[in-house]
Amino acid sequence: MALVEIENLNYRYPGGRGPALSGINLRVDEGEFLLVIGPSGGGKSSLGRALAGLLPRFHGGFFGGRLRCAGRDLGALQPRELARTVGIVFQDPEKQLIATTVEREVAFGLENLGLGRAEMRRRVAEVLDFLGLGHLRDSPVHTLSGGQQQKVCLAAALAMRPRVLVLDEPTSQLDPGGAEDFLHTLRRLNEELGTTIVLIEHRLERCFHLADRVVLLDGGKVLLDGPPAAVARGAVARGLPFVPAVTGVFARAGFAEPPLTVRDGRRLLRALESAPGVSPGGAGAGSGPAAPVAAVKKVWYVYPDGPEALRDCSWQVPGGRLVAVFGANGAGKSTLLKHLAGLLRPNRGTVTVLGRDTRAQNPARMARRVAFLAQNPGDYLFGDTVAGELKFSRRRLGVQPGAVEAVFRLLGLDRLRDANPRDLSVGERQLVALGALLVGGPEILLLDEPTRGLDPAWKQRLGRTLKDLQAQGKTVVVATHDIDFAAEWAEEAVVLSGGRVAGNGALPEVLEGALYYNSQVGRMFAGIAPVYTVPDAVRWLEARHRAAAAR
Amino acid sequence: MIYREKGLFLQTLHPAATCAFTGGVVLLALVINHPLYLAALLVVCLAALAGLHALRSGAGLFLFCLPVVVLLLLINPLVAPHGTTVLWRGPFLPGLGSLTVSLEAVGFACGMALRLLAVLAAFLVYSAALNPDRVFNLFAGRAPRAAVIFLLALRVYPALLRDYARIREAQTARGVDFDAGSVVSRLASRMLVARGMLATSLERALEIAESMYARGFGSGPRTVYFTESWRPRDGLVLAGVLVAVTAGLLASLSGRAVYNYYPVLDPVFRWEALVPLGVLIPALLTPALLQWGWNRWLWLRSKI
Repeated sequence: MALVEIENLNYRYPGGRGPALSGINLRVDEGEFLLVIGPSGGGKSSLGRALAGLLPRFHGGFFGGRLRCAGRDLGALQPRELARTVGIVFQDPEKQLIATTVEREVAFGLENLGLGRAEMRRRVAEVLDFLGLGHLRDSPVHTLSGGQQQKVCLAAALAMRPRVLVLDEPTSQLDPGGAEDFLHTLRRLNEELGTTIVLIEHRLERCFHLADRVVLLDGGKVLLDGPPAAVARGAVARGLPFVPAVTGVFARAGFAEPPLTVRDGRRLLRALESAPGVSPGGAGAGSGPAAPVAAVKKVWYVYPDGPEALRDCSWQVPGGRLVAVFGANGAGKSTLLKHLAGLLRPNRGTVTVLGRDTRAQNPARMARRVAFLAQNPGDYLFGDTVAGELKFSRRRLGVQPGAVEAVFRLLGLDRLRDANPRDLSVGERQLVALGALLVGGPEILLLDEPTRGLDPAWKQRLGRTLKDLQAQGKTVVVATHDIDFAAEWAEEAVVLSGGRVAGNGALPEVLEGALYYNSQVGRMFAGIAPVYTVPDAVRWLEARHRAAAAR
Repeated sequence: MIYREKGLFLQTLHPAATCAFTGGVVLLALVINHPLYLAALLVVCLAALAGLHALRSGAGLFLFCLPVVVLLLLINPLVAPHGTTVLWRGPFLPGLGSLTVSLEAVGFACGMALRLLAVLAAFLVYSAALNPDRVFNLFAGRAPRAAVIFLLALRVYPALLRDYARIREAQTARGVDFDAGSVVSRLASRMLVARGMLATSLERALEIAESMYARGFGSGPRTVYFTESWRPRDGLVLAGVLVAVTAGLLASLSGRAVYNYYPVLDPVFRWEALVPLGVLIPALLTPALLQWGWNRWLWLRSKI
């Protein structure tokens, strides 16, 4: 039975250049787990907001069509009824939390609904226990991990007992462990409580198999709608990258029923294992040792009032390579990059970059030779236009005017020249911030979690850009949780654990036999073949598929 | 200083009791000018801060205010022409006249510095002892919107500090040197950070507002989840504050706690001033003494 019915939904934001949603027709059944995917700016978040009744109530704009939940028009509901009907969890927990402790945060919405104290206590206790947050009841929210904070936001929405729960990229700001835990919780909610879930996500490999149905939105329109495997096949047929790596590999290799999980993929691979095939080339094929451009030697670093972030850390950065830095949260990845950029000075040990000790250098002057792109590209952007941002960098870094135009050409930013950087999508912001750093013509590029919040298409574009920069002779170091991205684009990798280097070398060597620090494809091929990337896996499969067909 | 939950006895006091304590100290510090009383107020606050394990974090803020205290000590003696015991006679300066530094002016500056430090220490006690959520709760029933604004302001402050550090680091990575150039260029560099912070804050404000709206804020009358219970410990603290404030105000009205800095310094130790002080100090030490007893005697724990 349809719980949510959307008929011919059209929406345009105030001042928007075009429609954010165009002619959407959709049904969500009671107890269904619906996954909404698509490119950034494709209308996913707008659809989520429309479902939560925030369009046009909160944002204004031009709204057309019908949106009904449990037989009632959402637009006609009073705000209090609306909050009881649809709950929403947004991307960034930091920007949703109101109170300072967990219990108060969960109670906030219930107080807004005007519930009695006994009812509130019962609901708070129930939801905290169900989500395993009972022991954190009195904890200040700022002391929680990102994953725990997002679970508190989920608890706050659930406590209001909505009929439908909308989640707008809830794991985009979380590390892989936190994201996995959060998505597992959603599965429990759906399976054990029958909660109707509409999940908007980019991390497809973790949630594709959870969904009953997948909807692919692009340009504000529904492009594909159906069971996960069918949508995966449709996306591959259209050349769209919005499929999990495992599913994409089989769909591209021509399998009619592509698997959705690593486990199912391995079963299929085992069946094909005996067939003759080809050896993979692979992105990770190294080309001999490279002269180091920077070196970290026995470095110790402790944050004021914080933990020891680096402990006797030693590493040499190979010149001209694209290197990935792996490690759990708190392993020291960002701290290592900041040391290489000269933004942090070691308590003990030495950091040498391009032949000079960073302690003897001014970090602002180092910026011309070493570029550091932090996790939040918005921190770099304050100008009124993209061109203004790049020109500012040129003046600060003291380079020729031609440098700005070269960056525009390299990054393909021409169409955004006069756009306000704050109005851009996450991917576009990332590229503009990168451009602002590239104006100086740095020899070393350090990027901290550059794929955070990016959709698969933007990841591809970023990967290609980094490869282009590497081809110009630059050294690129990427600290990332995104092993699939690293497997596709990096050549070397270093694994940090507890502030120390736990592994280092060519990427295939680092990934070989790894359980956690491995790509989805690498996990699927573990013990079968040294394959870590989608293109290699497709070649491997096609060869065996052909061989099997020939026999 | 930001509140941190440490599970300490003083953090369990009723917000009204904590507010009464800090308010009482601030009131007495503003009404009384006797240096012994001001020093006593500072000491009772330091004792409370010790009980809250906040002396070290408080010391940072004291150091932050040190330049103001030093300025007070330097400027007042130079610009206050009163006082009969001249310590130093300086040159004639146009507009200021002849500079003289008197013992009385130095004493007055010391008294004012003590007053400033006592008020600052009282606010530190408030910050370390009182969970902002509980203050919010105290007013949530009567002025819900104002209470939410207050709560958001408290949440936003540490976020702004993090924004500042992050944006400054990002701008340094773009080649902005915050410590180079003239004062004007340094200010301009900091304005960049301010612009970034403003933009980030506006985005954050919009998202928080959207989240609040989605959770039914402003949809009708609110109820209150938490209630505060009044316990014997709160009564004891309040009684101590009332006794201290009464003693202090009576001493002030009767002239016992009035100290004359000019034209010559009064003697600091006078019996008529010390007697009310003997009541005021133990009364205001009640929270610190209760904390001390709480840590030692199980019997006391069961009673308060």
